[in-house]
Amino acid sequence: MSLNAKRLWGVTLLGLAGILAVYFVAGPARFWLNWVLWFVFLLTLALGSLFMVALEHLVSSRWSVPIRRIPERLSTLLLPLVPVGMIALGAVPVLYPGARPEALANKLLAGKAFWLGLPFFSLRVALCFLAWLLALSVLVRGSLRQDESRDPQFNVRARRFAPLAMVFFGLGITVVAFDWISGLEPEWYSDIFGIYLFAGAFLSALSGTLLMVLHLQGRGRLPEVRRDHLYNLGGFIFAFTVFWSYIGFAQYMLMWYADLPEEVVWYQKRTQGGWLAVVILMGLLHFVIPFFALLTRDAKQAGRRLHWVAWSMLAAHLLDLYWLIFPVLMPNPVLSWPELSFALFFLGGAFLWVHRVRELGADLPVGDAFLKQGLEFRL
Amino acid sequence: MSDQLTLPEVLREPALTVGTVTPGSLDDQVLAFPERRPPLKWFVAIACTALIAAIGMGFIGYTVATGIGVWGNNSPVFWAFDIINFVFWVGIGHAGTLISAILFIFRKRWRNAIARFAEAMTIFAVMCAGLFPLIHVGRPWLAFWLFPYPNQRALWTNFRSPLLWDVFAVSTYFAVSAMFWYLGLVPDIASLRDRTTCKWRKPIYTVLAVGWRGAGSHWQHYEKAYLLLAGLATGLVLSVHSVVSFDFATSLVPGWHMTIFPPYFVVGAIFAGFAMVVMVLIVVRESMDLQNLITDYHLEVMNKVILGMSCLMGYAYLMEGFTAWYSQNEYLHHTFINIISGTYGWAGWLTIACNVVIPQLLWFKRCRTSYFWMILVAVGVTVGMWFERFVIIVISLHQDYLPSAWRIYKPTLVDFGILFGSLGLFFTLVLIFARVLPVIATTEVKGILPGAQPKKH
Repeated sequence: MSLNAKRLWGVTLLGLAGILAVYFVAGPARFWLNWVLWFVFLLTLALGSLFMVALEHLVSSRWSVPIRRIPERLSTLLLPLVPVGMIALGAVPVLYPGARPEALANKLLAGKAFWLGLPFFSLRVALCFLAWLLALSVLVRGSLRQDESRDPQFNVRARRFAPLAMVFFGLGITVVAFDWISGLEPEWYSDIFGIYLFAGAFLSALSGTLLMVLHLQGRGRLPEVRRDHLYNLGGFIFAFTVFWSYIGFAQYMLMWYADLPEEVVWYQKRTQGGWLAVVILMGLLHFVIPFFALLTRDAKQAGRRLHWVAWSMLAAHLLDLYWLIFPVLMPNPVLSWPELSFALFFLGGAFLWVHRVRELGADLPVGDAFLKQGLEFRL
Repeated sequence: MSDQLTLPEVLREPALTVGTVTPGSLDDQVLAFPERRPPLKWFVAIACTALIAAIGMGFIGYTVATGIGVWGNNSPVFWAFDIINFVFWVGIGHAGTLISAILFIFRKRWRNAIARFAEAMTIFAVMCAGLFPLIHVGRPWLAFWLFPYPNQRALWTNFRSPLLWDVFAVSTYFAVSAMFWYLGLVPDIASLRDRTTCKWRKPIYTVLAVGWRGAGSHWQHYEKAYLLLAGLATGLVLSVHSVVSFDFATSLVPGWHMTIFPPYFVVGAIFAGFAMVVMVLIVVRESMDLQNLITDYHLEVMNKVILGMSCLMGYAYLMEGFTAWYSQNEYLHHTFINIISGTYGWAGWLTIACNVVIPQLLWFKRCRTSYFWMILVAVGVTVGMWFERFVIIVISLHQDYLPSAWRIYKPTLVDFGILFGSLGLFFTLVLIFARVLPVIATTEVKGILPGAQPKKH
């Protein structure tokens, strides 16, 4: 597939026209559901990428140095997501019952109405973005600058900053999970929910990184990245599909077993009608297929297989978020022109951004003190 | 090595061994311990631990003969020290599996020197853990009823009970850990067999070495089997303590029914296990003069893992507290208030202080490399993690939905006796291991000696 800026602009603008029509024709609720879905999808991709970068510095990983520029580039998606997130706040009074005045009459919501209300909600969004942008600036901008300066002091600074970045990431993604997703049904609570979203975010970032590496290699770039590096990326995807399933199963099983009305109602909504098919599809896409596809050693090094697994992994993450968000208002899964318009708009926009940042810095972090060690990595 | 010199000092990777270590000197150093007569201090140490274990066994005998009424358990605190100790010991075991299996898969080479010891601790810890459910059933000679088997009374185990899942999870864990450990030992036992001149040791090592000759085909199969077992053990690290957490989380007891329990228990287990490994390793390193193989760097990275786990524990506590409020569920709220201000509020605060506050000292390099501070943290974590299970189990049970059923729990002398007895048993086993088998996997350390790994293809 060729990333042609002109074509992408066309797609994005077509999508824009479509989503404006959604607002006025299909109604604001449908519009905001889609908006939140795509906002959270791209946000988790960007945050997961930032997490990958921070993780490398935190644990002094060497093998991943040659591919680090890719998650660094993907994490810059955070920048266009700032306005997307600000606009998404428009969804709060429409979709989030805790932020509506009726909440004060609800015994379960009155006590936490100030937390769920728009002012504090917005403050959390702002604080999260500030923290993430700070991390982006230290880790990613610093790394880009190191291309020129070749100063090993950046590695020292990044290593010192990485634990803090992890705190920003961990608390931030928990807030995203609780505010944007579980806040849609504010009576429902599950304290594992932040970890569940983390698993999806990390998986989508790994898949995005893998796809971009393969894409660049297809154009003759990044020749230094070997099968050994791809193997590790594939191994991580394999491990974290299992992790995601483990977390998802733990939450489901514990709620199913205890059968408490305030908890199971959430799953009941999501397993009724057409949603059951979505659950089954998600189980296949998010766990069964990638698990068996990547089980063997050779599979984790085969470019073609990694390619389709990574695509299906991203699709599975999107499907997961769709399954988390849409049943709030939709008794059955919907996929019609509004959803397609949003897909055109956000995918077009995201690809436009990726197209731009594809040239951000050198393909390898050439100034990194550990690049040589990373390139020497062998299984 | 030459690239390293251009780096700032903090970025340089320390060597994994200190001084000149050759394959020969390594064998002489490590394999000599099983061949020598242990020093007096070892006899003194094992006499003490064995005495404690014996006292514990005495209390167990008293319990079995009299009935578990001699414990402090009451209604509604039906579960107390027995389950606390069980969870505590299973948790201690997790560090060994993490080090030997997960760090192996992540190719963290520093694990090679400490994996053998940590894994042995896993096995002994699981043995100690298994003791508690066994005596809690009251009639340990009927414990085989826990297994589903055809019988004339048509009795069948309840497959929906997480307690039964525990039976399978823990026994699988024990079996795989033991196999993994033994597999790694085989080449070392073969070396012992070839070195020993003792008449009665030779046949024992010969049998245990299962015909290992170090042939190329042996190594090929060995590596494959080791990797497969590591993969299986990796899954078990997550599954065992998750299943243990299901014992609590599937119930309706406020403070137990938390969806975060499975990963939170796993993290806590690794946390407690690493603290125990650090403590025991310090003693082993000093008393057996292994400073050149278990370096300051090893201890420092282990302390970093403890710090990381402590932060994750902090996250879990935060989520529990937040959920107690966010759920607006009065029972959950009541349990949480009990943790910080009830009769056992001191235990709640002790848990938080030991598990989240004190380990923050490890942010400082000086604390990560000084025996005083790291022992302080490790002891704190061990105490804190025991009390965490106390908090979860006793505080949640002693006041649940019906105020008319509330009751204070007080442990008895027998409870404490069995707890300390299990500590005695654990350290006795560790001491025996340290003198009977090689405490460091010499074959694995040979693989990380300078020059052992080809740099380029």
